[in-house]
Amino acid sequence: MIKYSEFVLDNGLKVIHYHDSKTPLAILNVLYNVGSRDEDPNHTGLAHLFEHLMFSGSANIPEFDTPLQKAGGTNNAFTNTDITNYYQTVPAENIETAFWLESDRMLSLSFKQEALDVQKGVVVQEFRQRYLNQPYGDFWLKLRPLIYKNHPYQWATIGKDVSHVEKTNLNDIKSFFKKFYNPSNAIMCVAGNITLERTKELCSKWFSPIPAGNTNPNVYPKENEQKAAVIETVYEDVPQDMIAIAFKSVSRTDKRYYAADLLSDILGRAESSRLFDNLVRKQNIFNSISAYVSGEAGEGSFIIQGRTNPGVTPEKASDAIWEQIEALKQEGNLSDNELQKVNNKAETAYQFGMLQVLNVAMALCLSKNIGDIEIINNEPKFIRSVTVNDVRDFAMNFLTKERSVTLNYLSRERK
Amino acid sequence: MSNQDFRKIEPRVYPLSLPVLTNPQKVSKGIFGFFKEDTDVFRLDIVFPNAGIGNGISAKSGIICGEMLLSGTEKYSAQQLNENLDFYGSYTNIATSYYKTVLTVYGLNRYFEEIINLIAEAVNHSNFPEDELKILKKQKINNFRVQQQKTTYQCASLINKLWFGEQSILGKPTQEDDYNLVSREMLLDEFRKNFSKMFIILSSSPELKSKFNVLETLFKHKLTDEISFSAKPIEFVKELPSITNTFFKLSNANQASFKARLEVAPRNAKDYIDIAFLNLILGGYFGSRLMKNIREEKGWTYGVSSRIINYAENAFIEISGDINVDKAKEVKQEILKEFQLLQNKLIGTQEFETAKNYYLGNLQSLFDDFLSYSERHFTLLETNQTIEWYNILGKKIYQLTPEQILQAAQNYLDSKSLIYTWSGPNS
Repeated sequence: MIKYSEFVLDNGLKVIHYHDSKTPLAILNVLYNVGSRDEDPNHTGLAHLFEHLMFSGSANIPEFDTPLQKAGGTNNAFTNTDITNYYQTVPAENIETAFWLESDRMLSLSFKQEALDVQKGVVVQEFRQRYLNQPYGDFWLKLRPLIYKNHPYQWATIGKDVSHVEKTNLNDIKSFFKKFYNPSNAIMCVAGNITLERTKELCSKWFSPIPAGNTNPNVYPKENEQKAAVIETVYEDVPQDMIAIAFKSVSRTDKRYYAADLLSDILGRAESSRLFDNLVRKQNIFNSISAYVSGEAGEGSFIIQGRTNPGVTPEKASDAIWEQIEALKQEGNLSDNELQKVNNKAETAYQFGMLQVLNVAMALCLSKNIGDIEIINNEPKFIRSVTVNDVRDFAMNFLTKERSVTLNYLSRERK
Repeated sequence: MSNQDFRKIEPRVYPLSLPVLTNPQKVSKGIFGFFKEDTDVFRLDIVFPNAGIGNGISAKSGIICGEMLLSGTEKYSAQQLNENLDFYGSYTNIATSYYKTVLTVYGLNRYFEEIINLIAEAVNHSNFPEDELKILKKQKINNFRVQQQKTTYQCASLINKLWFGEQSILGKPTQEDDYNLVSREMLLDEFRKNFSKMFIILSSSPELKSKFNVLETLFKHKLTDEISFSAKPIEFVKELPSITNTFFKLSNANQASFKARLEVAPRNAKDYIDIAFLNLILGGYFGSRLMKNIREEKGWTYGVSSRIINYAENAFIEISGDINVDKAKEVKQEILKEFQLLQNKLIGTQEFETAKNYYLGNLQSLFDDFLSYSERHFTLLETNQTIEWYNILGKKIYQLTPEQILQAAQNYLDSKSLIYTWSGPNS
């Protein structure tokens, strides 16, 4: 059970405190309610580029990293479709340095052209390194727009294209900051070996004077109901074909999310899963295969993807996956034992995750951001309460041919 | 003072103190433990000290043997074994290095006995079914083909060949046939020869101490107190590079990858901690010279880093990164420039103190991560040290001076002996 306290500053900054006296460390984690879903479709990748600029100096501090390193601290950040999250880990006695740095960049960045130019170069290299210079690296860049036609989940956090990153100017950055980087649009967790009183004192000194600003309304275009299967085939320089079948799923706050998550585990989490056992081990169709849910705050996706063995056609591979999906929908085909197995795996993953104070701090902010901080404590209970019928219902309602999107990512040699 | 002027004043930084680490408790023959209160989960590391690549019968038989430890026994098929291990919520990982193979198990305390019984069945009676071997070989070959399309892989392959020599198991480039040649008989031989001895490190809450007799009983025939590794010494051949053997062309690449190596003294050398700190300054953290120069000032790369790779008798620094295609040659010059600076100019006080505090803060984080102790401990065993070596590291970092780092730079950052390779769309 994670015991935490919450309070809100006058400027709207939501603060969570979690005390752990066993660690010598303290964490300052700040989540901004802005991700790639908040970008203009003609100017994507901005939220992520902005994350890089948050380390290039702020109103009163020319350099972010050096003072933190001097205090014995480390930091990093990540951007996804829904949020941008910054964290600092510091020896507890030096936590004020983290407050100083984090509050100053919330107050204002330094907005230097030179820093923008350098970071655009860095992000272009990241785009190449992670997405363009790897076999199958652009798989998600190709799959997303097939799943989502209206919603901004149709593009990846890195952006649709390198040119979107390259065309960003200082005015874009300033407007983005003004719109989203406000106390009222952020959630902060202070965790580790620091008392609640000290946390309040430091919040009052460093964060209270920052003007409130706007809050993200989180309103996005809705997806229309998909009425027919989508099948797309691309040919790329890869050694082996990859097949993916995806479905729009439910939001992270929907109770059915846990049924979806467990269903993906039953189908394709480990070597004992149905897809691996049947399609890799017994039928020799796939070389590797997995299933997972993407877990966005909004309507996420459910994905099955695998690399086929040589000589297997995409049609045969796809049919084999469908056979497994349909089998699971049959009454009596899914046992309590199989559900218990994935339940136990989920519990182990949860327990190990909560051992690290940084993970707890992030999970508290994420739970709060999706509207229910108690998810952090209730998640094991929600998972345990999923029944065989819940899993089957999800499969029957969501994993249907007319709702499916198939991407055949084939080796160019096949063409 | 304006109402925001207080923000210009840096808060006071307090000196860091480090706790003292102790070696794992020896509980009985071949069984050791790290204990911490209030954990509902455990980590168990089973270390096979003879089962490293260095002792393998063929290029890939050692790795495949390790990876197939959970692929079936007389009693259980691979599917049954995995199904049961998954049922009890456990996660496993198998890693083979030059010196050893380690099977790591993560699980819930309440299923400790059930999980350990299954692991013991696998570790004592693996029978390497032919069908499972066929599947794994196919996967390995497929992954190998994917890797071959990566600039990072080709670059690493080139530098390993130059560094260790083509006759060495670490330098010989992998071929598909290396996997095809592995047979079930070879694995059974490997298993008999190299997996017959093991020691265990359990990281858990003290309540699991009462279960040690289970470990003793289940693994009694294999447990050993010999916790040193038997692989033969590694030789650095360091073949002189030429234009033809330092570049690998991948026509469709969007980016180039580079790697550079330089021999340094090993971990048991008197000045090793000076070298470790020199490496930190050069490319060992976000604020390093190379990161500042190549990423933060020039924007040529998403990341560049340097690290020390240690073996029992020798060690090297490796600098690597992925970079804009037209900068792969220039980056070598930038590395050499940084070498020169470090050799000719004392590190300034601010940079030195910042890096020192960063190092100490990192050690504090490391000491806080209880579940990582065992891995750090058995990695240090490769160089005949134990986790208590970190206490010496901590103390020496406090005492370091910029003069010592200058001396280390002059002793080891020898531009002429740097071996540099890269891979990309054009040379």
